Amino acid sequence: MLLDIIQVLLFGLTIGAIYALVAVGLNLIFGVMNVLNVAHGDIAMLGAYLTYWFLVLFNVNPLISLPLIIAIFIPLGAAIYMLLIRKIIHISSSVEEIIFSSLIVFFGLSTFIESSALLAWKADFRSIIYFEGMINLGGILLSEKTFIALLVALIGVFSFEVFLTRTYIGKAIRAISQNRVAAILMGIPVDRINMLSFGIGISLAGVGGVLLALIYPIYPALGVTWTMRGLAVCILGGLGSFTGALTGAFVMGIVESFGSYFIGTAWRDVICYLMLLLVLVLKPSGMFGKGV
Amino acid sequence: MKSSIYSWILALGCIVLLVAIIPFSSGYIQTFIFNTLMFLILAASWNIFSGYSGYVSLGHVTFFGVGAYVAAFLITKAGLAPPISIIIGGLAASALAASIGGVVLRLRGAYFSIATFGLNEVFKTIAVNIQKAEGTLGIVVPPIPSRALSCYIALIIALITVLTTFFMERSRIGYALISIRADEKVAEGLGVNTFKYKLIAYAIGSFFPGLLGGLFAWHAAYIDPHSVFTPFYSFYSMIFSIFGGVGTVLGPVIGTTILSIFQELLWARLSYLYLLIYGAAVAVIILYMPKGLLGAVKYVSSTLLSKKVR
Amino acid sequence: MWELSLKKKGNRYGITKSLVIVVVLIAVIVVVAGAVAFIMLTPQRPTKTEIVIGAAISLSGANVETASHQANAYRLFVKQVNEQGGIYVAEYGKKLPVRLVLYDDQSDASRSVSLFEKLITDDKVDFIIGPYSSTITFAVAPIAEKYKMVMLTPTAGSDKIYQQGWHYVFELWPLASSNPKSVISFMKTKPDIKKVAVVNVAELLARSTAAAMKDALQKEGFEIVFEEEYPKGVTDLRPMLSKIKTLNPDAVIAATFFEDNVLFVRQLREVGFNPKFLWTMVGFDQPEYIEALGKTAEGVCGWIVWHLKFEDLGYLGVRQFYEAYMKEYGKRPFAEAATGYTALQILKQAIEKAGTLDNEKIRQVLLTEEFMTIIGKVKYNEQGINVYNVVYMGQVQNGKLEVVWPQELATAKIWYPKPEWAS
Repeated sequence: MLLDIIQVLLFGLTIGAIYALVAVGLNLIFGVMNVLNVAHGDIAMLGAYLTYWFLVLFNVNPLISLPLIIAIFIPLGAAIYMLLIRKIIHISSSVEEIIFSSLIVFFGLSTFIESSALLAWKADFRSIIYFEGMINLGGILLSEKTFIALLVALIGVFSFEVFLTRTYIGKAIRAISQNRVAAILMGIPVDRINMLSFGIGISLAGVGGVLLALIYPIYPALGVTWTMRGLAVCILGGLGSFTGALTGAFVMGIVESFGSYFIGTAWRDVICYLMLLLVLVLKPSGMFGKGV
Repeated sequence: MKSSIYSWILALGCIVLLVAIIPFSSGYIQTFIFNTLMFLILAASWNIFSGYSGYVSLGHVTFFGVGAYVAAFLITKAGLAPPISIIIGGLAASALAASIGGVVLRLRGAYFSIATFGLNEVFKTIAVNIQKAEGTLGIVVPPIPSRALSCYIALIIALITVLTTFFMERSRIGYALISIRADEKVAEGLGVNTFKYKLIAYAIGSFFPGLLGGLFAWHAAYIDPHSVFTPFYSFYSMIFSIFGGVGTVLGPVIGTTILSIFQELLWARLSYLYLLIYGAAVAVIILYMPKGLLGAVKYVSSTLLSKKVR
Repeated sequence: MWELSLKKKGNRYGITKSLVIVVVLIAVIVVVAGAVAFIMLTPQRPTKTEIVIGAAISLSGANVETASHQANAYRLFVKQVNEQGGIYVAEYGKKLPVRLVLYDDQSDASRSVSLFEKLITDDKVDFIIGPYSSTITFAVAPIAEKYKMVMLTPTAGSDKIYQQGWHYVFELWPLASSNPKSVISFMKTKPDIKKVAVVNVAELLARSTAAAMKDALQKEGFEIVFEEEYPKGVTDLRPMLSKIKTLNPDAVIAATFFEDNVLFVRQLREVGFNPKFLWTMVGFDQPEYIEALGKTAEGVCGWIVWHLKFEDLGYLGVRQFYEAYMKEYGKRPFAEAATGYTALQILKQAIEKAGTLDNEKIRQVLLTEEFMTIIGKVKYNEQGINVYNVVYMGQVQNGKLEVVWPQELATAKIWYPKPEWAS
């Protein structure tokens, strides 16, 4: 019984780690540009499908897909930034307007991506068959793919943290999130950092997608679900806070896993959202959010 | 009321036209009119609270679903006449909004949005599980005698919704909401009881989707959790309102009409392809008309036609 | 020039002349579009040169994996019947070709309802034929009743549908309440099966089947150690499966639909539990199932509603159907395709017997006559239930679908207990 609970905990941690990847990217984009990327989950979905097709068509090991996806998504993010976000910032006269407009524009983008996926790949579930072995950690059975996903996600989040705190660009990003005007005054090239941040945020989602494809069946509508989950996690942890996104992700993952185990799979979503509402009632700006 | 007499005559003309067309239209047109009116009600009622206050609700469909289920249960289990059930459904949705509002309206911005979305998921799951004991899924409702009747009832609800927006805009509630949208802290500092007005507007805005839900149950003769609690209706309410011009009386009306026709022309022929074009179009249009159609028209008229400063 | 005629009022919502123009334009477009559409869509009264059969079916969305085969079967039958000139209708003294009209309901019940209404009122089809799945059929049945059109329902096995008192619905799929018989008759022969777990997806047929299973299991003295319902579209069943593993039942009964069937089996393996007996539902007998699961499918049991082996029972046209379907679509047909085909088989026989296209007379024929089809004998009682419905049990062995129970009809001996997960 205890071993099974630990197994469930590990599932929760894995899903939490993937949540972290997606949420941290979303959070980054919001923190730096005040843009609510409602197409974030769809980007993850694209990453998942790319992994699938790389494997099926070219026999590429999903782990190799990782750097490929990053290499594709950073310029993709830059392109989206130049096409859409620059214009949004240009036409908006206040932060609320940026949020409002980005909501719609990215919703349009999300619909566009999802329907393209539906047209190209149909709605049925697809699964990757790879890393099918099982690992036995002292009585706890874990599939190879779950283990790898967990590892990669943790490494990804950790590297990102290092990037944020130790590199110049990372510090520039944090500066902009804290106070844009001061950052500009300090000579930080905001536009270029914005572009890079969006690219990085997107590729984090893409990596999340790769891992998703590894352990779950994928389908186009996955995008909307994951966008909502990503947003919920960010809100739970406090929008704008990196620690918040991280904590929120793991809390959500574990609550979801244990909730399914103890109360029932049918109530899984409800449990997560009720927990979120509870936290928000007690602290309206999220766990680590910056004031109301 | 300071307004051009032309627009009132035009509005009246459109309504009379609609009333005249409905009984003679084919089933296809009637369905189209009903669907358009349905989205109009959803968009306009969303606008009542979210449009004027700036609080983007992503859970508008919750009230639609609740109204639908309450009405459906009343009709099938309690044997109440549909019109009464529908009205009770609307009231139930409103009551729900008033109670939930106590919790949810204390949140701001994206927090509020996600909380409203989460609420929808909660009610959807409740709807799925409510019938588990009796082993059915979905409720079959004795259908409405004629589609034309659905259209007329929908038209009446739509009119009431738009008129409510009109009067609310000019009332204290409207002023309060607009001030909240501009800057909530300042409004509070000026002594506006923001919470009270938010709550009232939220409850009013939820009444109409509730009514609509009950009407939908009667019209479609069948409801199930996934069709009446679908987040897409929330998203569309928002998109149509913003497209036409959020925070205005006619914005949602115009936005819905145009996009509904657009959708209908494309959907029948192209299925998924239409969604693709639709998504791209929405994004592009907002980039060039951030204040919606009405805003763009205002801009055009103010720069091209008038020497007055608006 | 415009300024002169315009009394500019600074009204609150910006109604200006340009706005008026815009609104007029919109009104004009609406009216014109409405008129054009009205004219274009008023259907011509068909002179009787063909029989039109219509249905809305899930050609996209969550159900497509299984429903597309039902649609294929419809198309195959129509193609075959037209190759012979059509169906003979005594009233017209000749054979009339058949035209099939299929709309995509996108796996959405409400959409299916409005599409069926469109088929009946706008397209004015002569006959309608059932959609896919109990959930959707449940929603559509009142429409058949409202317009008094006969509807044969190939894939609607939930008893709930036939308890509503409809008079125009005629089912073909074994009722959920009949599912337990074959499974439990097998389980009773194995004394080491005592503890059972029963799970189902949140779908009408799955709910009905799980309920029927639990009822029957309890009556026969089995211990139900676990029961749960999971939502449609779920992607992570592992916590639930871990719980099942903890409880260690001897048998697991999973009332699934296609997507979650694959997920269930795969993730059951992932949490490391191998029950002695695993029974699944929808999707089990499809060729795509074995394709998707590969070796993981070995030893999994499930329902068999139709199988090539039925030709040994002397049913009408079993092998011909099998081969024609294979030739046309490249994959072997299974239950949902078979019942879809049967529905049209019966409709054709009913039309021939009644000699007319009148739905009322057809309905009388359906209630009184007996039919022979690829799924065997069909005879309807007052509620539109086929009294000859029966369901068997199968198992995947060496990548093939075998019938294993009852033993008289078996193509192979059942592997019991279920072998360890193969790699």
